[in-house]
Amino acid sequence: MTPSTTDDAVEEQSENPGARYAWRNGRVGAGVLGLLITSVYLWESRGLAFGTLDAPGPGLFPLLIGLAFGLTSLGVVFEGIRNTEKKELELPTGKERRTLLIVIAAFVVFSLLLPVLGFSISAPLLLAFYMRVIGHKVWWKCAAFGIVTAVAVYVVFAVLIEVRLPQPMWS
Amino acid sequence: MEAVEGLLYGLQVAIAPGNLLAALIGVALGTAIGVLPGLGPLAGAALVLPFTYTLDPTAAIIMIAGIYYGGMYGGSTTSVLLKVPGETASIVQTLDGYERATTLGRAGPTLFIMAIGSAVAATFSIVLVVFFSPILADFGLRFGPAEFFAVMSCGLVVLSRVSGGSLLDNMFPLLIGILAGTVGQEAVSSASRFTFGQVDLSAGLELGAIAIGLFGIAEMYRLASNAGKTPRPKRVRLRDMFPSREEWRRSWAPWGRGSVVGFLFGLLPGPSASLSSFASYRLESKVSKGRKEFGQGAIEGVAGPEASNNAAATSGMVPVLSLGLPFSATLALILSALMVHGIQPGPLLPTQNPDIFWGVIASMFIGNLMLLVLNIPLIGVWVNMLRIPTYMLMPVIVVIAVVGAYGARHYMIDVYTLAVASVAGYLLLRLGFSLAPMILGFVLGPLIEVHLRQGLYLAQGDLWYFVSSPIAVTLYTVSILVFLVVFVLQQFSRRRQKRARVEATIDQ
Repeated sequence: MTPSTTDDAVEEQSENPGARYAWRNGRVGAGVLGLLITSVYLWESRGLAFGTLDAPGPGLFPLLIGLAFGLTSLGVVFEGIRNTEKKELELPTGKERRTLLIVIAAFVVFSLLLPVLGFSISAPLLLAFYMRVIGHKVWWKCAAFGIVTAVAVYVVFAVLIEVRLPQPMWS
Repeated sequence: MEAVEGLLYGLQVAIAPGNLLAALIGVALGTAIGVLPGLGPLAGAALVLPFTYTLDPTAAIIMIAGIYYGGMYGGSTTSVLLKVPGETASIVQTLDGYERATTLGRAGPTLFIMAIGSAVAATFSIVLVVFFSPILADFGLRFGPAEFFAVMSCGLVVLSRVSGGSLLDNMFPLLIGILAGTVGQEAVSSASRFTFGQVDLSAGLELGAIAIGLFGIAEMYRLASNAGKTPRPKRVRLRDMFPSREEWRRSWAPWGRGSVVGFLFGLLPGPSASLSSFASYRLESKVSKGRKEFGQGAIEGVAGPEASNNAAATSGMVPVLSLGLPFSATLALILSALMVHGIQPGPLLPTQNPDIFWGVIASMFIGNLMLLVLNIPLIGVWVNMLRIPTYMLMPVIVVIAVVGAYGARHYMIDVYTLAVASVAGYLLLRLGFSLAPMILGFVLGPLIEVHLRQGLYLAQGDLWYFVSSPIAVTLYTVSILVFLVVFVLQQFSRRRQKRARVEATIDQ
């Protein structure tokens, strides 16, 4: 995004305390998560040798970057609390939010099922489910779409360009 | 190899059947991806990246470059027809372009002028690239660890300053990218870092999975929750496409100015294609003959920016190929594709791998001609792609993304990375963070570390070494200047806004 579009967006926004509150919470949350990641990162890097300045070890760069990220995360927390530019966070609501959460959850479940069921079973399931959730089509249409598309993807990628696809656990 | 000789050699490489096919597939896929809602050149290049690992390196880079500039063009098509920019470089095309397509009913000729303008600009840019790249590569031969460290770290910091948003909006994702880049075995002593005992993580996280998650799937989530809201474009027929004599006449000068602006921006760090299209629009609105019609469908407002974003996309390849420095996320993907094939881009590339260096440059010329042939007669096909409903498009893209993420290395961890990156990408974007720095950090972070450590070894721990060369000092000075200038400009604009707000309140 360019500076001019950001400025325009700020000016166009209406007075909405809820959305402003959401922005603040979101940014503070992101910063806190950043601090947590920093802690885990620095904790994990404790076993790496720093070496000396003339023979730096594998731990030097992670230490510098970890500290920089920690400071940046703190900055994000403070900037979020102050929110001087009065920015707002608009998240989807109602039906849109439901669809969004289902779509994300379905993808997470799919990626967990993939090593168990393999591509040939999980992919048609995901395709059919997405068509049902997003397009609200009848089940048989969704099933047909899932199977036909998965076969097409299989032919193009696995057969023609010989990409290996995830196999089911039992194969 | 001399420039002209090199280009001729490159043309020989580029017209080899395999490379010609790679360019054709690249530009066709690029246009398609650029046209499709939500996907830009970056998501396109990321989706295709894993599939190019098995290709010959020259063909792989030719294909990804094709997607890059093909996507630029495709993105502008939707700006004009639907007021939906395919990517940031096409935002300005929604101003006069959309106005021309709707109010003036000149959608066809506008697309035609844009196609020709893109080709003219790319050709102009390629000619300069041909002469400029070897000079830059020669210059790059003087670079040691101190200079590379300076140019990469300054590049990233300057980028965070000129990309829009606050410093933290860019630094936060940038550092996440660098952090993610340290996972796996490190390059110098092969020590395993941050693998949490997972063997699959020793090879590091997969760039393709991160990029597809951030830019592809995250956008698909947004699309799915807004399904059914995409406007329907009107049909554009081939016979309605030819511009009038006046439209031709008024486009020449903007094409020329746009090409120069774009070429220069492409050489600088930053989202050069989008910045150059904005710069060209501003320039045209000040100097062109049709400046009074700006905002109401001036052809100059379309011809200039379109030429400039294509010229920038082309000249952006110069720092990547001759110094190994990508200044945008898509170019970072190209750099990483080169490294996957074991090729170290940099000053030695023209002599060590002339096939890739000259072949890729020459292929951009051929690719742009292909783009012209693909875009004018087939415009109807691209427009029809916009009619694919979200409930079919989105699931297919998601499945192909998974195939790509898994197919690159056959690790399930890459599919999990994809899932995490997609959710992170969606949330970070909503929270106002820029995502492109994350990719740049991920690709450049490990290189910065190598140069830092090599520099320390060489200088036996003397930190002054990093500021001892004139090139490094110049780079640091320029970065500090950019910081100051941006800071002062921001203060000015903030004060002006405040004053405007106060005046508005008084008026009420």
